[in-house]
Amino acid sequence: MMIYYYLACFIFALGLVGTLIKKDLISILLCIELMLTSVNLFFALFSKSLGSADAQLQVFFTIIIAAAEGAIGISMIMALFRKIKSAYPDDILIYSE
Amino acid sequence: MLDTNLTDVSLCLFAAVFAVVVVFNKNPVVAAFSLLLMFIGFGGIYFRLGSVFLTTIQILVYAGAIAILFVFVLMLMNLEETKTFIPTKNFSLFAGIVAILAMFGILTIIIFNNTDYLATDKLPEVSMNTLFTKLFETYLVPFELSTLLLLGATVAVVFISKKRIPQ
Repeated sequence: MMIYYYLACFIFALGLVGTLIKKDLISILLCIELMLTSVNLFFALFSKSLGSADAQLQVFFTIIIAAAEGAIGISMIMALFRKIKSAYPDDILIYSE
Repeated sequence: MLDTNLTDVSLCLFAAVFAVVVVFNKNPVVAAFSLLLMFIGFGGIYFRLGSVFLTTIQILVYAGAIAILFVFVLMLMNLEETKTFIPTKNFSLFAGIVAILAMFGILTIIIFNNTDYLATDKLPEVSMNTLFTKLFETYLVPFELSTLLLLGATVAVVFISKKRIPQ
């Protein structure tokens, strides 16, 4: 079971790095989802090792927040895309100058 | 204590490979589909941990709703493949790899020092009955607040994405 802890660490690090090195907004959002999912796995593992239901319910609430965050993030990216025909943060800087 | 067997290793490899594809891939559509597959792998992991509730939620909400939403939006936007990933300077790739190793190292050391505490399986599995009793008694107020959050998110999405009529 310990291998899952290392998997969650690995995926969290991968998501953090992806958030920093990706260039378009959709991919950044995908990497944020990666981090959220790895934290969910941590909660599920803690629930298993402590034998309590609370951590599983935390995962439930995290998933609700992730769903709301994903929907709002995507609609903001779509609104931006309609306005400047681009989904790259670099272009937003050029547009605002 | 649960022993690690071939199922655990293959589930971990499945999830890890698709997570790597999400980050180090130039095509965003491929990244979104591999995220979907990674979510399904995580559903398998939750099942292996004995939580049917989390497996169901993971497959229905994450794989069925969030990942598919990403795929739909990517089909609408039609991004260029080459601009997605930063290949301009080798320095940023190097810094990325160093950051992965540092973050992974720190978290791994924390877990490795607490192995005895974390790897135990103290109590019997949480049944659906206790889970939902807890959800609707102890966590009733957060549950209701989360429904309000989802309602607010729906209204916000409609407001953000509708066309503004010039006055």
